[in-house]
Amino acid sequence: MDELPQTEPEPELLEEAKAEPELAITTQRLTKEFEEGVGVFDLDLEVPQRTIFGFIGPSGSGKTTTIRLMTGVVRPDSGQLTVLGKQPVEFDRRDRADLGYMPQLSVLYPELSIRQNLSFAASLFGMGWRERHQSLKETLGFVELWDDRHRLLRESSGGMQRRLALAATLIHNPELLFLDEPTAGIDPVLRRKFWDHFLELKDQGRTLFITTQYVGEAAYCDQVGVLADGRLLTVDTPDGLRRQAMGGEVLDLKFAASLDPAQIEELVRVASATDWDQRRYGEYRLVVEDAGEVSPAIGAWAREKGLELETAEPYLPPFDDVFVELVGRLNGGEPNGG
Amino acid sequence: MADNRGISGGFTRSYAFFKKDVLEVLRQPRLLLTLVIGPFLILFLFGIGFDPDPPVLKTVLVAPPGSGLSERSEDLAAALGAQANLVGVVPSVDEATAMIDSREANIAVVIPEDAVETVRSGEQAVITILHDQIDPFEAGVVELFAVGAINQVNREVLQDLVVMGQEEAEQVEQPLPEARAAVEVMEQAARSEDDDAFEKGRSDLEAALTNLSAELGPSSSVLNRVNEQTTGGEESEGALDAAISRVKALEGSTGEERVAELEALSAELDEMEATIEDFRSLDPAVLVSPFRGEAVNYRNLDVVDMHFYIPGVVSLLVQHLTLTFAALSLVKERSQGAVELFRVSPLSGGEMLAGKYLANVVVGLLVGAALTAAAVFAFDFRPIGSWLWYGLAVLLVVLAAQGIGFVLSALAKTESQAVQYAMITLLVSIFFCGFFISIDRLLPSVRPVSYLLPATYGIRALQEVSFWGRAPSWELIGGGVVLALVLALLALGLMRRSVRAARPSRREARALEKATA
Repeated sequence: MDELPQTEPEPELLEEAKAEPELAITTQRLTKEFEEGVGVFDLDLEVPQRTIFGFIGPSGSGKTTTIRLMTGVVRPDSGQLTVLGKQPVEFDRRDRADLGYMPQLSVLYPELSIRQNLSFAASLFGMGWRERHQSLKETLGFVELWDDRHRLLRESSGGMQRRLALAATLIHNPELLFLDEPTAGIDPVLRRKFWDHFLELKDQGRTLFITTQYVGEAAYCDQVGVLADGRLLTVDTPDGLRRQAMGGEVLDLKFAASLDPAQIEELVRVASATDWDQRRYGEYRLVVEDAGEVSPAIGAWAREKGLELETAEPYLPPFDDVFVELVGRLNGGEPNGG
Repeated sequence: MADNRGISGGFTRSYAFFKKDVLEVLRQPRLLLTLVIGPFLILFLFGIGFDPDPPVLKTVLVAPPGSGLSERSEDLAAALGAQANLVGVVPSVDEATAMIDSREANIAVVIPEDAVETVRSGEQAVITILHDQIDPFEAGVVELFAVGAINQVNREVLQDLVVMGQEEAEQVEQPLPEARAAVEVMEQAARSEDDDAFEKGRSDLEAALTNLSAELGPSSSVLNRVNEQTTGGEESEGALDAAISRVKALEGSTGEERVAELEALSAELDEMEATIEDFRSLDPAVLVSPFRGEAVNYRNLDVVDMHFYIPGVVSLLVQHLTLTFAALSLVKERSQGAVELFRVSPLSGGEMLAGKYLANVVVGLLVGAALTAAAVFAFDFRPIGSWLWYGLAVLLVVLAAQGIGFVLSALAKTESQAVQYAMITLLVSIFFCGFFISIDRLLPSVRPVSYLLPATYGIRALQEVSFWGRAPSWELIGGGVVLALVLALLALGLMRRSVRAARPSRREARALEKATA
């Protein structure tokens, strides 16, 4: 894969990183209501610089509205919002040049070639011919479209068009990227490539605010915000989300024979488990505080009781399950599982 | 980092829009061909199909039974002129209207049954022209035909009377020499003082003049008019009767009176003879219609009917296409979400507008050039004025039409709405910009609508360049430029509002702070 010009973090950004962990975005009780009950409400979040912040929620939950607030396209009704140290509605041209925005829908022009589309996007940021020429080559290489640069957009595949949209967001080398469902409607292989690009961009010192409906993509993020019905349910690291969803860490145990009720009660006590479930014959799933810490104790207890413990492995539930569980818990519904 | 704020940054952004919009249009050759060839074919069909002559009307004649008109139908049809094509003679109005209803005839000419009696009673007889036209223009054509045809009939009748008079005038050859001979006898008798011979001569002269008066009959008044026209003399109506009275008065007159009176009578007889000769030799058509009108274009401007409409077609289509392109380009940007992207970028409304204006100028001028080239090659259209002025007139239309397009785009939510608004503007233009109906025929209270349309200035300016061979008047150019500027400013305001990010007003900002606190 080709790389963008800044494969190494920019010196300025590194200096800033050393000084203090600055926040790229902060919101306090940010509210925007379009009609009764539709919009975003009391949003409180902080996005550190040089991180990937994933914003996950179902369709209509307010993800795009949040991005539109942060880019200054719409005004908030109340609350505070700061992006790169300024209120978005006060952005001047220089501030806007620091932003990259990839809308949910393609805003490229079918009658122009891939190169012409990207050149147009670069021109919007005032890039002159020489600067644009160099950047086009590098950015098209980064998204692997250099060989197809003369192809008309209407003759390009959907995947190529999404890659071009990403290139158009990157062409002016922005500091903060807002990507609204960038992987929507593309195949898993390309989706994986996109995330490889995003991680590389983060390594270059950029901050990425990414919305997605694919819960599994949360694993790539440094922090994840879960949004439902316009309200932020929680913000945490991917591991933290799992812990929140399951009530702790999940440990799968496989014994040679099934345990009797008294043995199970003792196991739960030894592991300090908050929940448990028998999945199949001799197989048990425990929710514990720290799987790494309790595993040796469980092993010692099994040996002491003459029980044959075949495996003891931590279980990482899929983020789809985590999301369903979290929404259920945080929205006041009943969580799934034992 | 790129120069976002400087002039070069602004130029780069404007140029980007210019290039994108031009490429988008040029990359759709089928669309361009449709837009240029389609209107050209309409023009071509109009050109070969337009008949500038008044239509020939299928005419049915209503001749009452016993009027004898049916036998003279051919003569009557000829009297109605070349515009009337006689398709039948029927005895009743009902039959005539049935023929009009069945499209066998366009009009019916109804001759009154008692025409002769009406005229003899000193009133005009009314010839009725029946039709069923609903188109005001076609109804006007029929009314004009009625006026012309009746005038023609009246002339024909008068002409017949004159011919009759000329024939009667030939019969006065006998009484006139008799009158001359009687005058000679009276002169000799007066010189020899022979009262008996004088009295006999006087009696013969009176008889000859009375006979002459009877022969001339109604032609005597025509003769009097002929006399007036040929000699420029005074009113001489009743001169023959006056001469007879004077001859009667010679009875019992003395010698000197007789000689003087006879000399005067002799001169009058000479004059009468000359007048009768003139009357007989004059063309009856000239006598009936001494004057005819002739319109002369003193500039020798001979504009082919088809060519007259070319400036109108070029202006109207350039306005329509440029306006549509402008409206659609902005609505498309908005509907596909690009405007949201522009709001996040450092782009200003003015930069976007400048780029789009320039692109539409190129496309509009190309369309104008293509249409004009088609008119030149297909219809041999050659403006006699400067091509530079011709191009500037088209440019004026392109600039002003864009302004309307951008304003319409602010009202339209979808592309189909934008097209509908453009079509409504085209419809308004067809009626108000002077394409078919001259603006002078509109009421002054309605004319401002015309002056809000770029095609109004374009048509007039192109006509001045093409047919008069002169530069458009400064009033025309000034009006067009002012319209273009006002619309451009309006478009700029709308464009700024469209592209500008959601900056709150002071009141909203205060409310926001208060709510946050």
